[in-house]
Amino acid sequence: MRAAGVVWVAGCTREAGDLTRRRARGALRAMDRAERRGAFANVARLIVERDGRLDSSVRRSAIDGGPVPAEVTALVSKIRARASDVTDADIDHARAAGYDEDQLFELTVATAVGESQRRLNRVLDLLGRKR
Amino acid sequence: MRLANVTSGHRGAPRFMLGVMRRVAKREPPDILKTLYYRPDFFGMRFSDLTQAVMRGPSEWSVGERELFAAFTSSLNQCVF
Repeated sequence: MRAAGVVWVAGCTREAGDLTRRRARGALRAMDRAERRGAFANVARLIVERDGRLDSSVRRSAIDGGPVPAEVTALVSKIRARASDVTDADIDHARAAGYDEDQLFELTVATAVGESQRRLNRVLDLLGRKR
Repeated sequence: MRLANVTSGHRGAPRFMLGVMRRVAKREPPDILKTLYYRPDFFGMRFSDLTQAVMRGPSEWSVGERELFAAFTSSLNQCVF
């Protein structure tokens, strides 16, 4: 039991080291503006393409600002318009409709990333800058 | 935060790192870290790289100015971060 614990800690330490190194590499690599835009689009693309618990067409729609299943429409609308309005009741409602924690996590992340991208683009348009 | 998994459902390295933070800082790690560390391959890892590039990478704005923008945006979003 104890040995298993030591192996677990050793494995985690190695993994944590990897995480830190990957972060450091990302930080050191300077991205220009175009690359940053690309990186933003990449975050969104990967959220759709990664294996997930939520149907990828729902993730796509959440990112694109499109319609989502009725049980989570209220939740998604709140995240898009004013995320601080989300309450436990919204989450409970989605849970009662059969959504599990991981699906709700994916839905929330997809919605938030899509909305932030739209807000950024709106400001870029207002400033007359290239998207 | 309303998802139990994002509060305390981390696995592997992220779980370990959050545990170390709890021990060292003697307080709960910030919610933003819990979110970024939950299934980091799905979202947190790429998003952190992007955040790092935007907030610390080359720009006509200083780091301080960018942090001020971020704080102002968060306050508009009623987010305490």
